[in-house]
Amino acid sequence: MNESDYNLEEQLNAAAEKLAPAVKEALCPELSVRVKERLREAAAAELRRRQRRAAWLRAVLPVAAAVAVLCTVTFVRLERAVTTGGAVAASAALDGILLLAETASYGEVDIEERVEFFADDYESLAVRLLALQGFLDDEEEIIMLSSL
Amino acid sequence: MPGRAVSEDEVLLSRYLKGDLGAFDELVALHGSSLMVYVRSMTGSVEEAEDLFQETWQRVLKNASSFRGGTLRSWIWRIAKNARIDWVRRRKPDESLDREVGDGESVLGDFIEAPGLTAAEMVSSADMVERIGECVGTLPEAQREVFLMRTVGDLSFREIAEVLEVPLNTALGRMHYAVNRLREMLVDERIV
Repeated sequence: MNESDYNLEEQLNAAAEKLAPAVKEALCPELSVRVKERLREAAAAELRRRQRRAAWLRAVLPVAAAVAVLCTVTFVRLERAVTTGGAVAASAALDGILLLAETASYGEVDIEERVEFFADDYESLAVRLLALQGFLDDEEEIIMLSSL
Repeated sequence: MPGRAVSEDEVLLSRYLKGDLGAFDELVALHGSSLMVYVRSMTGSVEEAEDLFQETWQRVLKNASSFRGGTLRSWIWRIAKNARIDWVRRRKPDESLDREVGDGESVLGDFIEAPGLTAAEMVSSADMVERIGECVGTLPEAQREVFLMRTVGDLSFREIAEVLEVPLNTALGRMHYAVNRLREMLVDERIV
């Protein structure tokens, strides 16, 4: 703000100070009792609403907190299981055993001939076993059992 | 806000939020009268003014806990201004709000006359008080708004600019025109 602006503001402030008492006297009304009562009722209603909401929050918060903790713990455990493969390993192993048993039970397929076995590559082994049993389509996607 | 002095009205609002209804009465006593002047000057009837006044305070109550920073006084006035804008839109949906800023818009360089009032122009008589009230009512809306915010609401020009969301110079310009118009009207009628 430059000096002339500042001076103008000062002058206008001075003018406002001079005029304010008369303007207030001329225009400022005494609020009617009815208006004051309406405001008081509105203020009391708002206070009641806030108190009800606070009471509701107090009741709901512990439950919400418990649910949040439970969800967080479950999520963390699941995430850790997926990352490390720990929880998945058991079901995967079971699937693998069942698949091998199923394959062997056919007896017509010489697994050792048709499967290039890599002991450390269980995924490719599983894919090949699934392919042998006709569980994979042309794009090596598992065919849903319901569609068989 | 750390380091900021808490004003009297902020203390009252805080007390109200803790359940003290009397604190709200005091808050209304502090700002109610000046806000009523503002809404009355912007509406056509006492009933409409009281409705708008009530709506303004209901908005204050509803949003009381969301007040952050600034001054409570300018916050309340901003709510009053927004309530008034909504009221105008509801009442006359086709009417543009642009007209409010038409008259009195100027840059400082356009001003020719300094706005200072002489000692003789100071308010003293009952006639003058009455006439000033009438003259204020004839000011263009944009000027009247700034004039009332400054004289009745005791807002600084910076606060007015903030409330109206206009540059400081615009607020000063509107006040300048308002003061000059009032002076002309009062001089014409030989009141000053």
